[in-house]
Amino acid sequence: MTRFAKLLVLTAVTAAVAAVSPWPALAVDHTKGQPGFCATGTGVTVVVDFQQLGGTTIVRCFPQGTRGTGLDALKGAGFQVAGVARWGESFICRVENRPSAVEELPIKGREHYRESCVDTPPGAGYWSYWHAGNNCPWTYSQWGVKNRDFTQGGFEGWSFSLNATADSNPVPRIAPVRPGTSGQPCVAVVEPPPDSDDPNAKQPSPPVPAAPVPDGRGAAPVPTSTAGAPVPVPTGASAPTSAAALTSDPAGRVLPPPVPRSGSAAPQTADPAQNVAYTGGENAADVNQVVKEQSGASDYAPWVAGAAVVLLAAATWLTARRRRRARDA
Amino acid sequence: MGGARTTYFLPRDLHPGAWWLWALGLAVAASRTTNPWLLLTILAVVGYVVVARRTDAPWAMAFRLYLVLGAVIVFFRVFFRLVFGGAEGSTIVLRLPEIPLPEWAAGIRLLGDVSAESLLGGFYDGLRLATMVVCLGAANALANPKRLLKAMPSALYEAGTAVIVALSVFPQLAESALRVRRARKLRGGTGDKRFHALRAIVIPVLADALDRSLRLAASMDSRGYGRAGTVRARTRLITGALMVVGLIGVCVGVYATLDGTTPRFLAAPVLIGGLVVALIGFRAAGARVHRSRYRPGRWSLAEIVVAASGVGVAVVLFATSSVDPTNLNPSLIVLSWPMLSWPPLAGVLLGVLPAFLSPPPEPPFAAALDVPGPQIEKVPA
Amino acid sequence: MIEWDQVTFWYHGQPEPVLADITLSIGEGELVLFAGQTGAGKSTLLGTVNGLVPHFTGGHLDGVVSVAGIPTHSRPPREFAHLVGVVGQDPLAGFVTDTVEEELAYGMEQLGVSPQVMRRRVEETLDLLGIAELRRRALRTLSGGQQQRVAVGSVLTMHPKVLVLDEPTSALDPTAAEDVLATLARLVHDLGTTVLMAEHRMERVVPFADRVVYVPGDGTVVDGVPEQVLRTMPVVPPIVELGRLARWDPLPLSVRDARRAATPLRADLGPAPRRTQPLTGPPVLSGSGVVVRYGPAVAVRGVDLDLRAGEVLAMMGRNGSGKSSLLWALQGSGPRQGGTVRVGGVDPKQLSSAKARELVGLVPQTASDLLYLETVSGECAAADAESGAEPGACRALLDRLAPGIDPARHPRDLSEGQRLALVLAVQLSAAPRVMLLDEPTRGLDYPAKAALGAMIAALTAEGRSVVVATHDVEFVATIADRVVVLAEGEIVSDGPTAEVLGGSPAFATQVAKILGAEWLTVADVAAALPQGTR
Repeated sequence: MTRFAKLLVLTAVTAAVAAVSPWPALAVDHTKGQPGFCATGTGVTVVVDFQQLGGTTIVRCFPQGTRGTGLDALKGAGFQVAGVARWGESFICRVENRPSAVEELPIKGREHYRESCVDTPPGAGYWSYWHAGNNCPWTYSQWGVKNRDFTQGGFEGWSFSLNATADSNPVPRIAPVRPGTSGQPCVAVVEPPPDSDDPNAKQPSPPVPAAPVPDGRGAAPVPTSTAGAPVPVPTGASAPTSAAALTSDPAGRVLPPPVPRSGSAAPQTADPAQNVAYTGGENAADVNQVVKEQSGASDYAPWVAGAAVVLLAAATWLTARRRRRARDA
Repeated sequence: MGGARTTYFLPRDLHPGAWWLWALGLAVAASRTTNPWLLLTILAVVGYVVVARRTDAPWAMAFRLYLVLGAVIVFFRVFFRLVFGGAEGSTIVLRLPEIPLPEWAAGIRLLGDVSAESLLGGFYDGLRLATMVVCLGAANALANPKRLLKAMPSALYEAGTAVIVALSVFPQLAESALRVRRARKLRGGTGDKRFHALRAIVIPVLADALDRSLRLAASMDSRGYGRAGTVRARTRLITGALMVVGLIGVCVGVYATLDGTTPRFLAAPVLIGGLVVALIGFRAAGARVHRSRYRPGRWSLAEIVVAASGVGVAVVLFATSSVDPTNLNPSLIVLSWPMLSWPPLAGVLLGVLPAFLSPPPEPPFAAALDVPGPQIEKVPA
Repeated sequence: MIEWDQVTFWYHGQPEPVLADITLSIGEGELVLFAGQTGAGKSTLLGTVNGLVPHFTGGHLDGVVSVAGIPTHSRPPREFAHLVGVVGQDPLAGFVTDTVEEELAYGMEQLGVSPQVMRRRVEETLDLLGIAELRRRALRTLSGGQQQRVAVGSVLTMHPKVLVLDEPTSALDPTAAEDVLATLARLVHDLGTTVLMAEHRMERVVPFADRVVYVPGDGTVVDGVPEQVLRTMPVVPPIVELGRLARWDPLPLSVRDARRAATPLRADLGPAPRRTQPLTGPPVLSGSGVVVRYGPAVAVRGVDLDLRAGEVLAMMGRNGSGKSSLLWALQGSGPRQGGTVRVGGVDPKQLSSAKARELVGLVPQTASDLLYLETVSGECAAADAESGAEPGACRALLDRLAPGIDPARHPRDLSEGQRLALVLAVQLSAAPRVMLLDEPTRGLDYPAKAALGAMIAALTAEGRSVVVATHDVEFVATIADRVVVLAEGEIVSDGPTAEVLGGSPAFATQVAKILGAEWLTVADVAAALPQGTR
């Protein structure tokens, strides 16, 4: 069989397969995770706060009892995410298709910026990654989303930071308090900061929960200046984690904790009463549908493209044959 | 009206610049997208136009080599994803054992789980590069590269001549080397030490090449090559500087245009500024030269149509990328058929117009084909 | 038109000047033939006309050379391009472009001629040289004669006043040479350009040469009308030799003149001498049914060939008839798809190349392909090592074949004939019984050919057999015992020299054209003349 006949057959087969296989994907995959907070201490609650992007905050539960990374939690809760082309899912640039490819962000210095998810998003407009134990304050994560395990019974937070500095990244506006557990002490988690520049370094074995601290003070953020690491550089001074070292005076009273020097973490646990409105994502629009509408994609265009390819291939073969005959004549 | 149409479609060879502009427009368009529908359509368009409008010269038949090269590129991209970094995604298709590497290579991952998303990403990437390579191959097949060199501005004439002469040296070197290698056997060639054998082949070939180039130089000198007249050193310096600065500006501008992340002021303004400066330099340098061109290629309506169609494809893809960027780089997060919208598809199909709207090439001229003469014995003269 | 005024030229570092105090004057429209051995200074003299000597070649020039009143030292050669056109030996080496049409236009482009004038001149030149149907062909695919004609045309389009041709036919086979020379003859009559030509095949040019300039090699020149100069020149074509032998006066310069003068001579001659008897005895080399193919093309089609000890066999035939392929197949290094070859009972193809060259030696067409060292003595030493001969064997052979070669010279500095002798010595150091020579006479002048003939005679005296593939009929008539003619890969005729050459007009030597088919060389005539008139 000649080259072009083979090409024809191949194209026809591909087109036939295309007709048969649907591969739909819904936004907020309802087969994964559950809407709302996690009811028990198993699993982790994922909070997505769109902040200035606009849109209702979504809270969903990922009920897996075994260990998993932050990315597993986010995807396992049913959220549709997109990583940058350069680093893959190590750096999340879109959650539930926000910010979408056609959305213009008013970034300082680059008005009309559009996130194309090709390379690391700018520090003035990116999804910041937070975590918290139950009843603990939100802590800005020093590890990448694939490099740390989530806390069982804790919270994973995603908050879009627009035009914020390293010190002022917006905290998710949902208090990390499971319903029915407010007032309980914070089971703080010690997460030693990364000690090298390797973006693939994983957090050491699951963090040891320290003794409960009344006011809950997470570790102050430590600057992670890894070149190329997915986390943009906050410039806080380094502060040692000290939650584990609790001093008590001889009388047995617990000494008040040292005053935090800097950091974006709020020293107080947020009050659940101040949560913004949120949903469990039940009515979220189909991301792919939205993307399709935004881009003006048509269902028929791929068919037409395939048909054009087949037609042109056939025409090429016929023309080549005709010209070869004319030349040999 | 019929007369004008007949004249328009009279078989002739188009100016090589028209085909190159068309092909470059398509290559630039391909560089903007990784959408496989668009890339496959571009490939189909290019293939059809080449087969419909190429001449029968042997260099035109080398197009299939570019297709093979494209296939090799795609294969290697996918293969490297398979070997070096395949687990970006949730649909695991192959579970290969991961090969542990020593500490100093800690960042590299060999084999391990392979996901469909990463293979597909490699395929899209490779397909884009392959499409660009095939577009350039099409330009080579449709337009005689040597005619393109002849069409260069007068200021680059010497460089063009050097390239033409260099291009003809290689087949001669190859032929020379074959002849010498055959002759080695006559001296009992086998059994020699490696170095000796290499020397015995290289020295006669180089001596031959040196002789030939001296004779060529004498011949060109006798026929008046380099007879550009005297130009003051200062003028030469100025025109040279203008051209160099202009060309640097063009390079920077082209890079900035094609790469989306560089600041915008480097793209269009520098490109246009560089072009203007380079053109001024060329004009100034060319004005001094008293050389004419035999049968200079003319830019008529057909050339403009061909070039415009290629440029049009690039413009449409640039415009759609700023209006709806989603489909030009289909995401690999959820494995699904990439989406496509009408404007980019229509733009790409615009590129097939030269197959219908340009005059056909000259009919096969039997004596124009490379009929090998008395070459069975490889008699040199 | 061209004046040499006390011109002396020498290369830096050479004690002897190549041209010593030459004063010469050439008028407009004359055709001047330059004669002399290769390396005597003809090329240098011709090079001074457009300034290549000394601007391109280096060296020191005293005196003034002027063309149309413009002295050559005042301008570089490219400023003379509209006045003087130069055509060299190897046309392919001088081509700049790809196709015939573009090559013709190239010179005019450099001169800045307007496009309409260029088109017109290209068409005229295509017609003038008879190459109109070749206009779009690639230059590489043309035959030698066609290439040389294109080279002449590419120079003519500039309408120069002087045309300089430096051995234009020496690299061509006789048919192509005839082609080119006929074209030139017509041109001279039609155009009236001043033509300066250096040519070995003088007999073709002399009839319409106005003057002959003989360059003996000591730096001087001998200038005069053809009859005078040819009378005393040491190396002349057979016609002139015959004329001298028969003491004809005036010396006939063309075959027709000679025929007219030959009538009394024919009466004087005795019977034609018998050439050497065909040799008998067992064949040293025998090939039967040899087939050589290159893909679909068949070069040699079932050829049977026998060679006896001490025999000289000449293989003739046009380009592409399979001579080279057959020789390579007989040696064993070339492809052979069918048939057998036996040398002393052994098939050389089955042996390693080192062993095969002890049976059959081959000197290829471009002999210098075999040379890669820096000195003659180095080559000889390497040859001795390769052949396993005692040191000095090759040196001794070389001294016998071509005495007087300085061992410290670079092989590429030797003349063509000397290089051929060196390669022959290198191949002979393996002491093969059969020696094959592929086109050895290409590019050689008469004295060098005579020397080659002597070399071959020495080889056969030792009992070796020699096969020579050549176009040169005169050479074949002098040395060959047997002639085989190939066409399209098959043997067309095979027989003693006198038979094969005598019968056909295409292979007639000059003496045969004058005196009749049974007289092949001047030596034959000399042998048959009565004692008194010799």
